Amino acid sequence: MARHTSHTIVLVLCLSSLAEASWASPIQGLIDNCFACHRHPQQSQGLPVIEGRNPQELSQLLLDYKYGRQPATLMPRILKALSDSEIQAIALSLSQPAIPR
Amino acid sequence: MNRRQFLKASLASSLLGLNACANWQIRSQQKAHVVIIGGGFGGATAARYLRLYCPEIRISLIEPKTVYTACPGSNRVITGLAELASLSFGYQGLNQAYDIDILPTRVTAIDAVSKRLQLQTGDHLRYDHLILAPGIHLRWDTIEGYSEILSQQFPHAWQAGPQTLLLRDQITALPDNGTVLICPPADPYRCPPGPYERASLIAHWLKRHKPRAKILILDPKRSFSKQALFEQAWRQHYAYGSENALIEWHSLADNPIQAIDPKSHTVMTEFGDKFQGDVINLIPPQTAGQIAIETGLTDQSGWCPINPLTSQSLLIPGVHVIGDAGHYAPIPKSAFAANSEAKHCALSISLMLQDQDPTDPVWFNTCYSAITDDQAISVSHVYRLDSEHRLSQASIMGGVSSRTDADSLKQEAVFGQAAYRHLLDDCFALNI
Repeated sequence: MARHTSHTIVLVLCLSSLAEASWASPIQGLIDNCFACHRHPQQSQGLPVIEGRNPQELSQLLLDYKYGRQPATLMPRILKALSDSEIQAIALSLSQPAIPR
Repeated sequence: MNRRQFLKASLASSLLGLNACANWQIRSQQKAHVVIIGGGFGGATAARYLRLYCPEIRISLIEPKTVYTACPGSNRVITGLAELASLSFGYQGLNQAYDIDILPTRVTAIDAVSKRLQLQTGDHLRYDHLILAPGIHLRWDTIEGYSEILSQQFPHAWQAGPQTLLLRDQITALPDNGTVLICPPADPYRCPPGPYERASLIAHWLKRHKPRAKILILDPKRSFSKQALFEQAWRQHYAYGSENALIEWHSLADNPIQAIDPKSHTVMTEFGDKFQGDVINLIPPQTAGQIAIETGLTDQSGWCPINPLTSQSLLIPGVHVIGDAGHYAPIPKSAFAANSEAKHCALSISLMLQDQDPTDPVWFNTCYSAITDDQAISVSHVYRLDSEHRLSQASIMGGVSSRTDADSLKQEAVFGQAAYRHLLDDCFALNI
């Protein structure tokens, strides 16, 4: 948790010139949905951790799922419903969590 | 996250002037107060996500039950694969780690004009935003002869708790060549694949313990959720379609069940066909929860019409409705969908508190259904509004399990169990 709190503070500092909260982005609603199944930052219980990862690597993995280059049970179905640019924005945002969970 | 860490994070953001919900507070000179009625998956999620967005507002959750028993996963309890205790938990996590006021009482009236609630305790509670997440109410008036009292003999087991254990005990005591009738309701109802998962798990238990017994599903629908995948599994595991089938599915769309005779353990269709069962699992039709009906939030359908962009009621301005009670079709009435609807609702209210427009919603729904003790299938969809801000079939993308080899189905069962623990924590802050 301490890691995520410090991430939050750093991000908040970065965005402090903006008038609105960092979570008030169009992508926030999409990101929140990820945490229904990927809640725990430490205990993954068989489901991958999604916060704090390298955004390029995560984005590439998700695009590989979407386009069938990497087999998976459920993620390809979800990711086909998202645009490539949404996937890239999600991966970037998850690498720098906007709110502590 | 514990309370100390949470407050630390809150302090950091408010010092920097980025607690956007504070805009409202500066104007009104007091904390904004969001009240949530109903502590199921939707209500609990709304409370937690509001707190994540707005560290400084006051959030109250009104729920008469101090221990909540979750319905998803309760089919496993019926056949002894899980204990009911594993689905029962309190609200300490939300209270202690997220500073949510838990009020164990009922709301007796909503005054939407002066934004005040009347509580059963006699107290009044002022709110700035109100969220209703009251779940479902079972209709006792649609099947002749059925009643809430009779559900003690013919359990619905559609709200988890004593009903779940009653159905479990009846299945355990079934005669060797006995018959189980499962009577699902017509659409829409809570958990569309639930009756078919239930049939699958009971069949799995019968196959081992009472192979001469049989399940009849007497369905008022012409088709059902994940039908092709369920039927494929039933053929493979439960001799579906053969003389020795453990499961038979009968579509009675033109001749639905309309009465029950408790004495002879028989249900009767509109045209007088009779089906006798040693166990009758009669799942009655449903509406939005009682409080939604009493306060005028439901229309003729029995569900609450809403503007999906903000989740606000179309009938009473300023009241948000989420979860099973809301008319979010084609999004199904599931715990996962309630969690997703709650998140968008919390985000919308947080934006309203800082005078911003709501963002375009994106809802997710994923439902895993067990087909044996260690295999599962899934359906997952993403829902958006169409160009006219409506929820419509055109805006759905996703699908059902495409890989149906045994290894994939076992993998889905493992992921399904894990995902459910994550979902429970995402809603109720259980830290499990």
